Amino acid sequence: MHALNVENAVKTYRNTKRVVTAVDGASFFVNDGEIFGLLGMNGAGKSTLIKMCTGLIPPDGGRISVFRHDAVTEREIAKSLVNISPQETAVAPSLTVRENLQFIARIYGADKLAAGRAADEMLDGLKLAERANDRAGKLSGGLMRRLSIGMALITKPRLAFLDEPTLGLDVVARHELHRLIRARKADCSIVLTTHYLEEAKALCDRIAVMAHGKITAVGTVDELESLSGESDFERVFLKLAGERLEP
Amino acid sequence: MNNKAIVFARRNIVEILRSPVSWIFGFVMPIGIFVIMQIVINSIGEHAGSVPMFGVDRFTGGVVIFGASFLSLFCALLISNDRQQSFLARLLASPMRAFDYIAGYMLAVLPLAFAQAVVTFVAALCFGLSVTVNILPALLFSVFIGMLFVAIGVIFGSTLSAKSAPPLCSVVVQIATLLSGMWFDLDMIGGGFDLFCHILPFAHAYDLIRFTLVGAWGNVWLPALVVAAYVTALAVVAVFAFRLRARRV
Repeated sequence: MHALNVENAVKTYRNTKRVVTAVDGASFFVNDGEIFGLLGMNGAGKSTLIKMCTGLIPPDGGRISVFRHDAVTEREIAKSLVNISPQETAVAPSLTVRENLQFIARIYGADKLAAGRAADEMLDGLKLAERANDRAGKLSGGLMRRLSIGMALITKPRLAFLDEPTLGLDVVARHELHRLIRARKADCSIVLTTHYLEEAKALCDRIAVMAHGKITAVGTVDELESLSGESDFERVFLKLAGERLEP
Repeated sequence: MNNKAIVFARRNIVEILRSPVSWIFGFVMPIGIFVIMQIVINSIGEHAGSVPMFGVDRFTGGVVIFGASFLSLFCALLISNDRQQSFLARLLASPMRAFDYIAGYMLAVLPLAFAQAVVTFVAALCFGLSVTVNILPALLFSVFIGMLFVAIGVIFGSTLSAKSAPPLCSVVVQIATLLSGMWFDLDMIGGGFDLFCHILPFAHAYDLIRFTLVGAWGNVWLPALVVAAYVTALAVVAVFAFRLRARRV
């Protein structure tokens, strides 16, 4: 079964001066239990696409379904299967690290006891147990991002969206996070966006490249390499994204 | 009331109470106003007794409005910060429904409105307010007035950025206290200014508390009705503004 199915999704923003098509007929699917990478330059439409997939904004055209539940007409069911770690570190600054985790677990329906247990497990997994009682707003950027990802995974979603999850993390924290993401693969499909190409290559089963609102290529790293005729992954990405480096 | 709204309200209460700004503006400032007023009265001496504005039963109503007006600031700050830090986006992607957000924000601020009113009336009693049974309905009306400012806070929090919400809420605090009749007797000024003040809800909110405190029940119904109408209208606008904002995350 597909965890996520995106068929010809379109999103257009209008302002007084012009019409911007942020997502322009994107189509792809994510298999159950897959880590799926979404790569693209800044402004390619990745965040808008994620917002549509998580029910934050409705598509103007096309269809998006999560485990066969339509993201618009069956929004509440689809949302209960999904969680997100937004690009910004979306934490409650005055709550402690543990309280943030418990809060999200309870919003997704866990009772107080279960939320406490899940928070303790996640604190260990994130190596944040020592900072459990510190206010989230006092954490460093890297630790805050780690907490944000923990808040996305604590509800044991069947599909998690991680928008640039390792941005600003040091190399050790990044490896810890990769380990955590891989450990969740058995019971959770993950869609992640990143600008670190090596990270996408190392973590993702399949990758989609997005440019100007369109999906320009989808496949495994090998498939993308053969499609582009390049062997260096940076060159693969640039070619599929329609970009080139100035000499 | 469902569980998600209550869980969310608890989080919001913690966010507000862990901010020193909430304690300073929510609880210390209203007491400070009583202290300042007492200093003014002591300076004026025996003539102060002939000025109705200096009567503690009248002044208490003003302090209730002054304190409650800060609830709009707390609410606006909470919502605009949640928006700015994408915390709201995280919540909007969760199984919470529109009702849970509005109820969660409002439920969080109303207990604070009650606590603030209790602090204000205890302070008023210390500064000479007579102990009567009228204090109890006045307390309830204070929470009702709190709802007025919570609705204003939700509107500002939904429409303004985290940077622009605090200064504009400060303007609301100033307008509310200035036009409520707290600092000067509106009847003495009369004319267009008095009419303008009575088109807005703040003077009615002030009247509601002062008439209740002296047990002038025949005069209570009109301000109660006007405040209720404003609370209803502003709550509808607040829900509309929040839902509109939620679609533009």
